Amino acid sequence: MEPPKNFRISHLSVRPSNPTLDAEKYNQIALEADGEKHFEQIMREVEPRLKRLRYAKLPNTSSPLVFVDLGLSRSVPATQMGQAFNRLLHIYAEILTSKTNVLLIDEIENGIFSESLPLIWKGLFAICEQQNVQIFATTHSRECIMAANLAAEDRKKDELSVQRLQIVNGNIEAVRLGEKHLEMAAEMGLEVRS
Amino acid sequence: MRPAEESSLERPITTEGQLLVEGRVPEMFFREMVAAYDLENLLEVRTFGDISKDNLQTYLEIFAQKAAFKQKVKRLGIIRDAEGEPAVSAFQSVQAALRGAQLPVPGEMNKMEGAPLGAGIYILPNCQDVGMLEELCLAAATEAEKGQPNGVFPCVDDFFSCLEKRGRNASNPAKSRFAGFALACDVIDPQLGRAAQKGVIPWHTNAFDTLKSFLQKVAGQ
Repeated sequence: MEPPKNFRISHLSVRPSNPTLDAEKYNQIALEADGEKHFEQIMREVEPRLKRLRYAKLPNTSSPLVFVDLGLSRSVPATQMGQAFNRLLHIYAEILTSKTNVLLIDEIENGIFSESLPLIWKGLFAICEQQNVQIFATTHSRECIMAANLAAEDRKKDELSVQRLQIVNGNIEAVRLGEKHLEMAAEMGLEVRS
Repeated sequence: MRPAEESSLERPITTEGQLLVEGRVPEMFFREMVAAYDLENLLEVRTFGDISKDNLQTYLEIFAQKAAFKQKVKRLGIIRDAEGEPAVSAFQSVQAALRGAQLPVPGEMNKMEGAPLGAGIYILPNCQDVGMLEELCLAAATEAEKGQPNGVFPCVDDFFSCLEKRGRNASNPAKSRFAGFALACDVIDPQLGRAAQKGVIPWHTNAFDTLKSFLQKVAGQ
């Protein structure tokens, strides 16, 4: 089946993001009508203290960065914020600049402290809904799967499907794990990855 | 983490026979029982948590979809008790969970049915009466003690009649009597599983024959 016209697919690899590139993408978004406002609104899901985001370059530096106004006396570079904040900044900037319909993210948990994962997923669900994007993410992390399920449960919108890929007698097969399976796995401490 | 403390599903599936039981205490108990009958290399025991049709079905759906299950397991046994309901109701509840999980459904208790995967259901205490595992163990312990001059049951029974005279009735007589028996055998933890680990269950008594034969079927003997 042919994809619809103008259907776009983007991907993010496991490599760490480049803060300058993210800043350039943010700047591009900020130039659009209400671009800043939308971006800040979504980032506030993971950082409620956020007042404003700004694209700026410090004196005597050559690379612009995104600066975060948290209501303190000075804005701080986004690179000084937590991993969840930066990972989401990277993903959101990609979604909003590429105007993608589908985003593939390899090893989504890569480099993220497990306690930040629920926030990451909360933010991802929010932007997927806002931008009408579908994310296909891979992970080896049990915490990541459980965090996604927790975030999905909170939203009560049946937005998550977890597929485990496994090899059975030499063939790769996909097994769907529903919400009730993940809930039981969380309650009983069961393994869902194999 | 020591093996005994690991979650059941996280232990690898390595035998063709798999036995699912209801809760941690029966899991400990049946591990000892399997070892007592030399079935350890043929049969692994896991708990599916607290019984409810939905819980068991969900557990079965997770368990039976695992790659190792699909590649290795040939026989699946499920044991639960008939506490507070007829054995046939408990049996039908397990049948429904198996059916819901799209696994073979045995038509009778204590019988393995299906191929290449077979499934069997055993309802404690004896696939017939209302009751629980403790009653079966008490029957076995009574049998083992028969004719012995220094049996503990007279002391256990005296203890409970003394309490009854003072208006203190056990809410679950079978569990209480078993706890009294375990204590009399110097097992301070009254849980059935701990008593089994401490070696006070007489495995080789006639009371366990039917249950033993079920385990042997799941083990493929």
